[in-house]
Amino acid sequence: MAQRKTSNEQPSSAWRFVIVAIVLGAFFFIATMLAIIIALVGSDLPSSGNVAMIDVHGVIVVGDGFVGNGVVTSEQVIDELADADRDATIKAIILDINSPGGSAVASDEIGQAIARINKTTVALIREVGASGGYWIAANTDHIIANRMSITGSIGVTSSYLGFAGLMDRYNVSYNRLVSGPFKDMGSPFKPLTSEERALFEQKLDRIHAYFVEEVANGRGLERRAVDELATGELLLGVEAFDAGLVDELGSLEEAKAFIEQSEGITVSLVEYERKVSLYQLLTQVLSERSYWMGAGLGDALGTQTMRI
Amino acid sequence: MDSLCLPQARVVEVDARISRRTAAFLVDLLLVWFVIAAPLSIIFAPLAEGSFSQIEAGATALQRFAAMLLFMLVWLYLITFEYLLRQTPGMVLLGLRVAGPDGWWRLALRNCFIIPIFPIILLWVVEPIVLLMRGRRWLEWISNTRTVEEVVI
Repeated sequence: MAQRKTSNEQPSSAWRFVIVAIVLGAFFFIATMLAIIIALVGSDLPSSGNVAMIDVHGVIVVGDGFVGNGVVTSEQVIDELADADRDATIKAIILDINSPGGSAVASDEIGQAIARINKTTVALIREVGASGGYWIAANTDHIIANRMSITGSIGVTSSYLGFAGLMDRYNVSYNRLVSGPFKDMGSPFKPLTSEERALFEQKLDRIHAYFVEEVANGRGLERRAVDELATGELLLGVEAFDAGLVDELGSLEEAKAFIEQSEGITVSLVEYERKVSLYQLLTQVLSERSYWMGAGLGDALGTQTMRI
Repeated sequence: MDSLCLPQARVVEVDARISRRTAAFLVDLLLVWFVIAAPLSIIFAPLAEGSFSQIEAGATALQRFAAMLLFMLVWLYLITFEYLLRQTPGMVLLGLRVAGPDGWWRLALRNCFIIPIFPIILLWVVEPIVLLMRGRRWLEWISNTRTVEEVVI
């Protein structure tokens, strides 16, 4: 280690602590003043955009939790829609949809929220906007998709795995204890009876009818015409365009052009997204894994949810 | 009885030990948190909330400016204390001080690693490595300053 004699005179200990206290106080005062000034300046800033961009990316689920990538909750999208609707500077909303669908309830909740908005709404379907993703799009004023986007898939599913045969093979019994004949309907541990199957199909048909009704109302199509399209078939963007399920083939540029024409404004996009705290960010990884683990187990055990 | 004429104990300055330097830096970071970062955090509060709100280009630029201001104030904190006392509060507690020729610009240079601008930000990796390998930071070498502690020999 290099050695040198003491140089540079220093103030006494008492003075040092006085100087430290004064300087720390001065820095605290300066930082506080700057924070106040910046906060005041910031509150006066005009909004920089007039069109809100809201992402609907991933499987649509119900829930207010922070479930991570690949999943979008109805609460999240509804809150963002409400934010954009409240903001007077926002003239139109673009929903950037990339979703294969998900919960019928969550899709309907978002669809209803869109229907309540008094501003121009545009659905931009990129890779996938099928099933529940299309349900949401159908509630907007204008749908734009790429010619190769996957869309349509108007239908409902509630399929699940049954383990009754497997249990029989390994001599595992299912002790049925129910107070009503249909209480354990859909249990993967017993075969589905014909009555149960009929009940399930009746409910699926009902949800299917709601789906068709939403599309017919949203798109201004004849219910019969939508019924013919509602086979659950996936449609390419170009096929959906030909069938009247999509208004325009294109991309974000076409969405902006549509809004500029309908609203008479020059579009400046404002991205809406969920703000997360550091704590939420850290817990995201855990919750994400928990969600997918739960989803996988739920699927394997045949958790009954109506999916679209 | 005649004395043995042994050399008298004397105080010399040696390059500060890395453990002491690290501890002093952590103390300074803690003080910076309370004195500078805490008041400025009100600007970043919207980012920390779980609510939804829009990211406006103006607001984002303002927050970027505030973040840069935070680092500039930390830089100024280091320069001010080292200029006035030759040591930061953390160094006072750990018995360290800055040695070398006078000049505020030397102090500004030796502490400029704190600014998170490319390529200076690379020093966040380079400086600890150089310090571990040579016992003195690269910016200390350039500014002809040293962080020292007193030992009795």
